[in-house]
Amino acid sequence: MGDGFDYVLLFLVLFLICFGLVMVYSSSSYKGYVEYKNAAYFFNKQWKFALVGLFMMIGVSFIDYRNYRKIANLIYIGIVGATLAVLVIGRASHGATRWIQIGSIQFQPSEVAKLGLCIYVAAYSVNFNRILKRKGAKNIIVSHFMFVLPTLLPIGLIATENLSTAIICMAIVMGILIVLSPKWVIFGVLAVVAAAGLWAFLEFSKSYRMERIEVWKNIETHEKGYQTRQAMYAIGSGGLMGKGLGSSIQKMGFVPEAHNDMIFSIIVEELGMFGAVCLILLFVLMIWRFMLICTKSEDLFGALIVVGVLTHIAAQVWINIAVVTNLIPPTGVTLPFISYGGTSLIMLMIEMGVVLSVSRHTVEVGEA
Amino acid sequence: MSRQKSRGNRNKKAPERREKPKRFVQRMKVRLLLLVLIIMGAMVWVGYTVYAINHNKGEKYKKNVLSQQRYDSLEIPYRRGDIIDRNGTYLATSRKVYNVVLEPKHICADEEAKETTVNALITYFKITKEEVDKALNDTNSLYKVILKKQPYEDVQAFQEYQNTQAGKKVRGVWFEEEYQRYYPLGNLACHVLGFTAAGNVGQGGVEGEYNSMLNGVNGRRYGYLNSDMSMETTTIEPINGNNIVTTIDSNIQNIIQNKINDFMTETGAKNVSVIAMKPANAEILALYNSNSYDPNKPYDLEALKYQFEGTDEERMAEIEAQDDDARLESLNKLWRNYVINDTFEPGSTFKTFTVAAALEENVLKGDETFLCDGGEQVANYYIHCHNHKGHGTVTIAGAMAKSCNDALMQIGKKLGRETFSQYQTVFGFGLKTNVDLPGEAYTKNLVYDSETLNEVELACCSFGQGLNVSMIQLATAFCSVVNGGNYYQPHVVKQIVDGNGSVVKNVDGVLLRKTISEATSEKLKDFLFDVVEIGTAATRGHIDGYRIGGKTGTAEKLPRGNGKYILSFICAVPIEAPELVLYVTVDEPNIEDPSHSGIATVLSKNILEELLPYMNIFQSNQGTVDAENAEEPEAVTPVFEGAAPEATGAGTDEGAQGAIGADNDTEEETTEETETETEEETEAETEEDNRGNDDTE
Repeated sequence: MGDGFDYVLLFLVLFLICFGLVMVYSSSSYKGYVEYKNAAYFFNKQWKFALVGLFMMIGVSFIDYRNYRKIANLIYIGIVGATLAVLVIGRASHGATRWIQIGSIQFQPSEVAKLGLCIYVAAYSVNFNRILKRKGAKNIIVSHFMFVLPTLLPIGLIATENLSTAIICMAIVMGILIVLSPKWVIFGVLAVVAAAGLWAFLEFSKSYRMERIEVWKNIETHEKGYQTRQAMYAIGSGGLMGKGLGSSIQKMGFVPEAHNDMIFSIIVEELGMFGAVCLILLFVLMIWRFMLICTKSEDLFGALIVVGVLTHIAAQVWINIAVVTNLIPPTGVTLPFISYGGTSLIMLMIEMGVVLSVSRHTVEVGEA
Repeated sequence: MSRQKSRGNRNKKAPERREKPKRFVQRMKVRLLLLVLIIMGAMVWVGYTVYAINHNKGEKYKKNVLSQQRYDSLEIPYRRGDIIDRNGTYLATSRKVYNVVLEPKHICADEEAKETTVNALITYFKITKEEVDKALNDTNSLYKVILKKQPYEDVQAFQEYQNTQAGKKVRGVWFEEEYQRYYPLGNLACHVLGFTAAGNVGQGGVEGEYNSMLNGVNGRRYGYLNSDMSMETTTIEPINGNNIVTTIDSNIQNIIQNKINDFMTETGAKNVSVIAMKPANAEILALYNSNSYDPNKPYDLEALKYQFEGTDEERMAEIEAQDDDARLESLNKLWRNYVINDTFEPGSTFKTFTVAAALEENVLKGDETFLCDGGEQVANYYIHCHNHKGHGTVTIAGAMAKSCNDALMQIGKKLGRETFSQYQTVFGFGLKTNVDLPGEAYTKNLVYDSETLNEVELACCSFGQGLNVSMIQLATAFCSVVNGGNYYQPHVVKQIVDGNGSVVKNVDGVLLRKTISEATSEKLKDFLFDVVEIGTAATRGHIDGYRIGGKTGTAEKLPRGNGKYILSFICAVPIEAPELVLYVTVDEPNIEDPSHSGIATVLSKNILEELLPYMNIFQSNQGTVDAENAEEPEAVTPVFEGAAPEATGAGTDEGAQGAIGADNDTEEETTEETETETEEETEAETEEDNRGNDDTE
């Protein structure tokens, strides 16, 4: 058992967070000044969250991740309980109920659920390995369905109010399943099931989500496409090198949530396509590091947690960018490490702490 | 692979054993690599989308971004200058007021902030929850004005609350500055000040006459995109208007106003007007008409009540029943400045000028005596003295003191039409005084010139009947008589000061001409003194200890014999070196036998008793009225059935027409209104008939 602590990943995380703080300050300064007479209003809150997150990340990285396996079922109950609670006592925000308040602390259970799901699925996957290997079409279908089954309850609960997070959770489960399952046919099945499920959900879902599809199709003309349209204006006006840090025009009341879900569009406007590609490359690099930690990990549980985290980060980054570029219908997903938001940032850093903890227990390839 | 197989075998044998940790095997690594490659492909896809948007739509979106920018700049209002009285008291000022602007979009984004904001608005401003909620309904709006012209105090209280812990949550509220004209002293000196209509347009008075001086130039805040495509703002500061220091003394004005108001409530008259001037340079110290209004609310219907009869309710009912034209007529009447805009037959006060002319021209030496036998035959007419029995033999001083028409007719005859007409012009009758107030009456056609001044006209004019003057003309001419013969241009503005406090213009008084010599002036002052000491004003106008020189006037209005009079009294105090000229006219007082009431003299006395101590004019002699020798108050002057001169043209000029208009789109109506009114006042129309009769007789 060697100490393979991944300093490159730590550096990437710190770099992304610092970059995020700069961009939050830039994109929220106008809104902060207009609404609170303080351009640094959002920045001041965010760096405090980042500091808290940093300590938690380092702290968590010292905890042996293998302990989590023992409490995996407890985590599962916690996720289901919290998502249920948010439906019952949660308070409204932005039209959908996502927040829960304990004392003075407000948090989104769905953010916690993502990490919890990584750990829980990884934990029972370890014993599922053998079952998934069974041959015969019937066995394959049953075993794979059995694998997914326990996650359907929390994901279903999340989906009632926050479809995008549910999709990310589903991606986490699928990501782990893909890596774990010995059957190649899983790729085809997954693609079909995912597409059909999404279509069915959209079809029979609340009407406002249907309207989103209409908006998405007619982004240039639909009156409700204003927000995405403004984000695309910001992206389109960025050019190769952008207008320069702090020089965004669109952040001045045009792009809504400029410091939040739409922050990527402001990054492109200010730093151009060059900045955007650099940022995407940073995320790809981070995913690559996750992959290396997996391959070096000495046990399946740790590796599968990292696979879950990897899928989570990748899905969230992709959905966020896809929304602002209108590749997919608008949905509220933050850009990891960059967007403004306390719960999201702290949970991500705890997640990184878990990954770093896994990296501590890796071995050089070939050593074992 | 062999290891995997062996582990598989082992698991088959003992599935419950978990000691041996499970590995992340090669197969899984391959799967993971595949997953990562899929993710990378997805990332390339979104990266390409960013490029595609830039490449395909970049130029268009750049333009869209720029076209969304608001270039239209923000206007920064200038401050209209203040109007100040001679002691620095503010008569008119511009107060900063605030429009409350909401940004519903920002307010509605957060429930708690919304609640705090709405509560704060209800607490600190006079607005109901329903009104705020209504404004917030449009949740996409960023600009909703919910309240206008809120005072600074309310806004300050609100902003203090915003700085408290609880108030931190308030958001999306800001204030737009604006100026509102405010007259702190209400209707004091309203006719001197005038008022302002929307957009800082002065109407009437100093506000109208000096409108362009008082107004400034709006500033602007421009936003533009510079060559680096970033927003720059440039501010052009507004240029505030000039402040105007008037010659008005608000204390004098106040004393006069109080006395006249008392009279109006106790007795009443169609109109009472007063002007107080400083004879040394014809500064107007106070100017008052009984039809006053509050320039803060010039359209307030309450102020129109004086034009109607009956109980309060009946009057209001009548006012509310008016149609637009009638309403406008009523308002114009209310805003009218009698002292400047209207003319009347002055009566005996005019004798001052006839005598002055005669002495100046050496037509009189000063020791002449005249026999008053109760009247004079002039051409075909026998014109009575007001004392039909006659005053007997009178000196010039006696003729003035007793206000003897007979003697004056004789003096007028001696002067002759040429000289009389010449002096009429010297004293400014028939001319404009060019006072710096709008709408001065045009009187050229309301006096006789040397051509038309025939015997009868000359005789009547010599005692102030048959010609029309305005109060400002007579008061200004009187100033020149008592100040040694210097005719100054009357004025209400003393100084113009710009926004930074530096003097733009000083008005010391423009000497227009010499009317009479010092010596003549001295003689006249003696005569005027006698009027108040032993003459027609002695019983009612004399104030113990003060040396007052004045002249009474009683003029019967046309048509003669209808019992309607204008009573007047003009005086200078102290007569040796006058510091004050006070001229009071009372039009149609509600008194039985007004011709003998000397009511204008009584009002003057009331005013002077309070005014002189204030002005630090001290008592200079202890003389008391010799009641034995005192003349009976002057009886009615007109004894002549004839007419004032024919006003062939309209009795107004462009100035009078433009006196006060409600606003631009009613200007035409206003003009017509002014014309007819002046004609009525001067009775020019009715005269024509009279005159026709004269010719045939």
